[in-house]
Amino acid sequence: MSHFQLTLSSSVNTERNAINTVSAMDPSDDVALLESYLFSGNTNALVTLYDRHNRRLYMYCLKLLGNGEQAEDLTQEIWERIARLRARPQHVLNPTGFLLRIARNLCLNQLKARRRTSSLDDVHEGALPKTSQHELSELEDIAVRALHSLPDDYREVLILSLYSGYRLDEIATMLEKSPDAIRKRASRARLQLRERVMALIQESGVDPATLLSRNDMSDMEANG
Amino acid sequence: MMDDRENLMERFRNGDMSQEERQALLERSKGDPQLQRALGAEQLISMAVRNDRASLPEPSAASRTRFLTMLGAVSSELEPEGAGRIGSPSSDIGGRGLARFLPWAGAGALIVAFALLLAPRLTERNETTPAQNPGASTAPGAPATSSAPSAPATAPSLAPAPSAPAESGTQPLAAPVREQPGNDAQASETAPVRQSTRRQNVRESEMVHSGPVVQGEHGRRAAGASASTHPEKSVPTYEEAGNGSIRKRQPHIK
Repeated sequence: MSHFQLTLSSSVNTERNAINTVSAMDPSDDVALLESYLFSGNTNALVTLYDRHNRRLYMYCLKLLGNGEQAEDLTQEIWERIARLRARPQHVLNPTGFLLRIARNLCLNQLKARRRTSSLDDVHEGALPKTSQHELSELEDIAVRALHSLPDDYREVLILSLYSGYRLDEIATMLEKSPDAIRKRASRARLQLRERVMALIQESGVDPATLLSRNDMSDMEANG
Repeated sequence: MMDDRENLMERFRNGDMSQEERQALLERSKGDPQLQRALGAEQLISMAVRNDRASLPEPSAASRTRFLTMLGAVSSELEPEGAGRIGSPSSDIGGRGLARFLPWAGAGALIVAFALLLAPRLTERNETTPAQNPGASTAPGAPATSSAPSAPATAPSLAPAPSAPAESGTQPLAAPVREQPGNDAQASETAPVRQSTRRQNVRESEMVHSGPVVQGEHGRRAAGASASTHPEKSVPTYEEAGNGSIRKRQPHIK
């Protein structure tokens, strides 16, 4: 039991550290690493790039697809595409944006393929994450579902910021938009998410005051 | 008004509020059900995302191994052939250096071989005409092949010399002898002893053949043309036949 708690707390700490470390990265460093691989064949540079970005790309794919195995396969494909770029090297000014674009295209293709082979209801269910190692509370589940029901561009910004840990200015660079545009998009996304959650809370009959009276949702769950 | 509320929400969400401000906002929300619901929703979203993120699986350890394997495979696939065999992806510098050097070394070797091939022939020409003395013609040819065993192997690659540096990047000195059906047919008609190399075919045919040495249809036409335009030229010269072989430009003097 204590081992489990230790593992859980260390994994959470590792994740937080990873997000903090990644946020402090210098994007120009990524450019240098990618060019070092593409033009000089320095495979260590690509491995460094992989260690920096793979987890965040995986999270992005996982949240879009809702399937851990598919997310891993897609992230592998992203890196294979990057590795094969060495056959025809070209300058990439925005490596993180480039990686994200590949990831997004692959995810969209995957979702389209799913839609072709299953009904719309199945797609909606399939898009929900089923990879949680422990159950979320009912209310938390409502919030996560609301996030998944957002329009794609809103959901993408929120996933990139809340799950992958990118800052809004980084997301702006990745998506090749101005920081103001992304800030507005993120604000609208959050507003829309909140409105949906508020509606769901109202439907569920939960008193919002109870949500505010507790700082920790898990305490509330433990108390029933 | 809406913007004020949004700013307030954003500060509440991001934890930018002091404890006093936060407390004041919560007090205010008691009289404002809309604000209360909004704050409750924000609180719920933050908790849900935090817990959901913590519960998501990490990429498996095998995925990194898979990536490294893929990278090794792709790197060896994309390496130039010669450098790929010589060096691992991490030793690119040595491999690439050799890959650059080998074509030039091959070209140099071809030039030397060509010079070695022509040198004895020119001296032979000055001494005797092989057609006039077929019995003695085997004598100069034999030492040339026996004393220089590498010459027959390099001689066939002389004909495509202009493109040799580009093609000979990996195996400049050991290019396999291409079989020439035209050569074989011609050699079987004329040569008493069939030799395996093209250089020897040329040499034999020039020694025993009574007509112009030709290689294939192009060679026959070219030889006919050169015979009609330079009938009295006595010193034979050699040129490419266009099909990767050497032929004698000058027709045999009757």
